[in-house]
Amino acid sequence: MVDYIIGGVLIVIVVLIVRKLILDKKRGISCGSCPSTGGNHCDCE
Amino acid sequence: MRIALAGNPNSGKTTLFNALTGSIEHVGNWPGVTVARKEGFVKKQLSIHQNIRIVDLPGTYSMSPFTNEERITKDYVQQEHPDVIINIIDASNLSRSLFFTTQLLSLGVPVVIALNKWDLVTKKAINIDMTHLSKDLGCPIVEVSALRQDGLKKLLETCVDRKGSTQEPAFIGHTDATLNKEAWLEEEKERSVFVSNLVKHVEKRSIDSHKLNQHDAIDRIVAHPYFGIPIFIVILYGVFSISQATLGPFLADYLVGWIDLFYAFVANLMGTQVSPFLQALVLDGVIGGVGAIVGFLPLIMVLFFMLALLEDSGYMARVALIMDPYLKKVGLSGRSIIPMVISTGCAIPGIMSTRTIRDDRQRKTTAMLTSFMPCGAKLPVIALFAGVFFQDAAWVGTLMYFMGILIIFFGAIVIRKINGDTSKASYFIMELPEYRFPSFKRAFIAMISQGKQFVIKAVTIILLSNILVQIMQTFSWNLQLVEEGAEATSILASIATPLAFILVPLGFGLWQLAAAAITGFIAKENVVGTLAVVFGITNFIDLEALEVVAGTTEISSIMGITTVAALAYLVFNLFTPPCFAAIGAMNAELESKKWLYGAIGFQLGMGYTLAYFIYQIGTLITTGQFGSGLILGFLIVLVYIGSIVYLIKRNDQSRMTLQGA
Repeated sequence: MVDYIIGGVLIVIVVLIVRKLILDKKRGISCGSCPSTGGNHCDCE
Repeated sequence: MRIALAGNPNSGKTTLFNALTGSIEHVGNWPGVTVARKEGFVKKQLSIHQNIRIVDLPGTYSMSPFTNEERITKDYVQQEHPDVIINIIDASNLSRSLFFTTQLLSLGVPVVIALNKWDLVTKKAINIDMTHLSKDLGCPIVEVSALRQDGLKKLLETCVDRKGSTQEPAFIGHTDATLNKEAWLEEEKERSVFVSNLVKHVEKRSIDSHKLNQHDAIDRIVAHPYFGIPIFIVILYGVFSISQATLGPFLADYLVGWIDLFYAFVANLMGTQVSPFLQALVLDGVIGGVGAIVGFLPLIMVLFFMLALLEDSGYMARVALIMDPYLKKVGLSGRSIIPMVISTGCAIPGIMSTRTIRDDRQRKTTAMLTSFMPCGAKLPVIALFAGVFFQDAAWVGTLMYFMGILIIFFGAIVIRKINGDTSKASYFIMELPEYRFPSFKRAFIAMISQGKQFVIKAVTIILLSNILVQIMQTFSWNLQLVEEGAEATSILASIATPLAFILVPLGFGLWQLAAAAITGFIAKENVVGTLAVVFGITNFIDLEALEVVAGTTEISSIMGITTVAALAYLVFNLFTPPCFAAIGAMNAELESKKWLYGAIGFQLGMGYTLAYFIYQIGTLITTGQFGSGLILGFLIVLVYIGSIVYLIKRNDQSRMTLQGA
């Protein structure tokens, strides 16, 4: 049972991260992080 | 309502944009920091019952489309017609600023002048007749201090008042500048005369600006053609000593202590109720992998804090100046130093900032090579190897930065030889900003912003990669759990082993190290994360804790490589192609598949060749014999060097054919 809970939590985390990465990509922040600019110049299209 | 911010480079536009919108856009005390336009809404504290959108445009000296960033300003102002333009002017340098102002006033969009850096006017004993200036230009002028956030409300109110009003040009030329370039140049000459007459009329200087001041005295030393570079080396070494060898690791010790406590807490919570696979996934993959990277956060934050202080003081502009003659000698532009310095933070904006270089070949060469500068993402890799193999030696980081510069110089020479030098003589005209006492607040904001992005990246891309690496390491291709001692049958091992074979001549032919290098292409921090996962090490910083976890402080025995091989591995990861996102940026800026594939091939070969020589020569010196894989590596290096020589010869032949014809 505990395995299912932990597995489920991990899947939710992965889904949320993938969702964020896709949304960032759509907004043009496709590189995840640019330390020198705070991520705002990261339109890599 | 839309307001555009326009002005000369380094006049304080981004500082004003941040002050008006509450953003934390990167601000640098030197020209050319902004290369793309940015938008934001006026912050609530300054609200004047209007929804005002502010657009920050890249700095430009004129409206003529010489470079891409000048084109952004011109296109925006001429095509999208903002309601009002705020022309931000450096009050201490009227004669330079007003040239652009007169061009803006000709566009028919209402202009409000924000006279910035007013404190310098007082300090330099300059007297400006504001009433006269406003009357002659035909637009209102508001004194502001973007830095201290003074006069902002009045500025916005003036803009609201001006919305919908007409704007008459202050200067009308006698020639039609749209006819041809000569006519345009003629009009620009007339405009210069108009501006200098206007400045004579409204400005009185009590101090002769031709006399040497304190700033000039400092420049005579730090920007000296011979002393400048040694001083830069000493400063960079000092920055690395503090960030990577003393203060950074001191703070990191606390952070990794907390991560270790968290690891132990979760391990205790799971107890024996959870399956070993999930335990390994959560503890080693998620907490261990991410924690290993986050542990380096203090080192990175201290480094960026110090670099921000240097940049804010105006010193980095001097670095550009002292490097200029050397860059020109290898066929680069003096402006190439700006992308190189920006790339120490992140290669992506660095590559994007190559747009400011006018010559096409110089621009492409810089875009292709600038990612050789170690970026923030590569810092954990440097810190890891400097820490565990070289006792936190500051020279490792300094050496990597100077290796990056040397490779850029070498690469530029090679590209010039392959393509031929078609560029005309270029002149690097860069306004040297005033030295100022760096703002700790701005450096702190920059540091927090960078730290935040680092953590976001660690808990998104890195976390995903680590989960994937852990799963691939735990299972074989038929989805069976890999038995202890049979790790080489895992999915990860089977993917990484072929690459590991090629890496034998570099001293690190282990599938674990090859896997870490592969995941580094997703994000360079992944090298550290993957090493943590595959070797089961959660703490690379605290060697005492490492002893508890791994039973030894000798990380070389855990990784199975020598110190020389570790240096080769570091160089390989740093100087092979950057992450995919940076390659994407390179693709966009190079606008040519031939250049892109050339760049990737050059970078792959460069990383491999350097690592090969470091390992083989280093091993020869330390053990008296060459390392393994000498012949295989030699053949690969020979193919790389042979390809470069072939391309150079081909260019020589085609040039001789052309000359003969």
